Amino acid sequence: MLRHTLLGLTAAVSFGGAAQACQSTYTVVEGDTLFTIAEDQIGDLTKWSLIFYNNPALQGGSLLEVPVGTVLDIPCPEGSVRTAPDPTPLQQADAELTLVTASNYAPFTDWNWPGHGMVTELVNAALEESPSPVPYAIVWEDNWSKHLHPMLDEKQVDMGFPWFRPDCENNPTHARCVDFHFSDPLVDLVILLFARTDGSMTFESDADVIGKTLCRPAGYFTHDLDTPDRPWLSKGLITFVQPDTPDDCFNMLATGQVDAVAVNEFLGVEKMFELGLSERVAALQRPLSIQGMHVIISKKHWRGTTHLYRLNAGLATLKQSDRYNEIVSRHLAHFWTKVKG
Amino acid sequence: MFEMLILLFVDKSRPIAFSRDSDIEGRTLCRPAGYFTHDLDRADRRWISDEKIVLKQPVTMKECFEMLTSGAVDAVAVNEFTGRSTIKTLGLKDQIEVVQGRPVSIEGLHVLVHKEHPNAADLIATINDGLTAIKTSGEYQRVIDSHLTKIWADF
Repeated sequence: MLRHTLLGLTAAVSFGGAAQACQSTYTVVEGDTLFTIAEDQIGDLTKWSLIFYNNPALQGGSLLEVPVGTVLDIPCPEGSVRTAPDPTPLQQADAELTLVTASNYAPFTDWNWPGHGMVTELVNAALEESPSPVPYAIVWEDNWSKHLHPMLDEKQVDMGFPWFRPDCENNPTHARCVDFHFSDPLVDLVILLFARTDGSMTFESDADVIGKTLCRPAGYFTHDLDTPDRPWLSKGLITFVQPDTPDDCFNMLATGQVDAVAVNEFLGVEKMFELGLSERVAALQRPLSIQGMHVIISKKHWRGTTHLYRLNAGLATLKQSDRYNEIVSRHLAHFWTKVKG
Repeated sequence: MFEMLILLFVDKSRPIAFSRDSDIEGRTLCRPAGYFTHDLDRADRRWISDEKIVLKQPVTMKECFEMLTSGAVDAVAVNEFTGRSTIKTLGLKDQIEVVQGRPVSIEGLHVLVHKEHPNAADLIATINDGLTAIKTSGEYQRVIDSHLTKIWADF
């Protein structure tokens, strides 16, 4: 079911700024899926995720069953949105509130990406929309392994982003669940299976993956491959390979050593084009999982839950506004233009 | 020196939506006697002066939660730490939930001295200097760490 109520409706029928002039809406009818809507409205079935990311109310729901009557924002065609990042009036070098991120995670957080990344811009906007906004600074530490411990744990910085939330309900002793509070998701990220186009791998249901060999780089999360109703790892139902880099995974896919690479859509598409595999490799439509990207704060922070509330309140306001769509559309358009070079 | 959320705790069988102040009008809230009430009655929220809510103020926190489970009040409005620890002590974890969406208020904890106290300025300066000193030395953080680690682990 929908995680958020469809408050995006008001945004969809109002007239936003000039950047939104091309934005149209579509009302879901019986039998529609995001895939069919993408094909009809954008003319490209593989661009269903553009609709997904532009409609935060959909996130957390089922991609295949969008409730009839839901009004969806259909993003502007590529190239028609403005490209300049939003100003960041509250960012100040010596601010009391500091956040940490790393610059190697395009299109989400990257010093060289417009606006320093889509998630960075969403965090900026959420902080600006929060009740009684305060100045803040963003610290860039490119070694992610320093963020949780010691930086956040020892309160050298106040909050960190973006982080995935493990399944804390089923795994409450996970260190990240014990030590940190998580914000509401800034954006939900689609995790896909990338497979050879020879048809050797399909993914209509979880049963299709049993006995297959999946690849995901070492150090990446694995909690979506091992859940109570999908015990792929703990029961040894799949062979799981974890080489050092995403490139290794895609090379193993190309040479037939693995059946699929399980990574987020952006990383997979980027590698597919970069390694010249766009003819031989494609993303399977059905998502493997949907992972929220969150802001986190130490449970031992003296303003842990209060800082998080301010951010969540700003994020809720942002998701109801045109600005959320505008930021997401702009970054996704830039991403697709860039990968296709 | 510390900041916390003031939340609404409700009986799971009688949930309340709280997304705007008007959602609370007509409700009966509980907060023990002697606790502050300024967050329930301020310039932009005259819940008590305009009689928009009924506020019950029994002597103890335990009584507030007993009134909640018996249906005598709609919600207990108290800081998240005291609320959660009382729920745990009384074994009401399965029966009571926090109203999601927004807190009643955010409150900082301060030391106060009466303005007419002859040494008011000196006393406040002593406290503030000491606070700055323990923040610099790391003692403040050690105290917060040890307490909050235990608190969240217990919840």
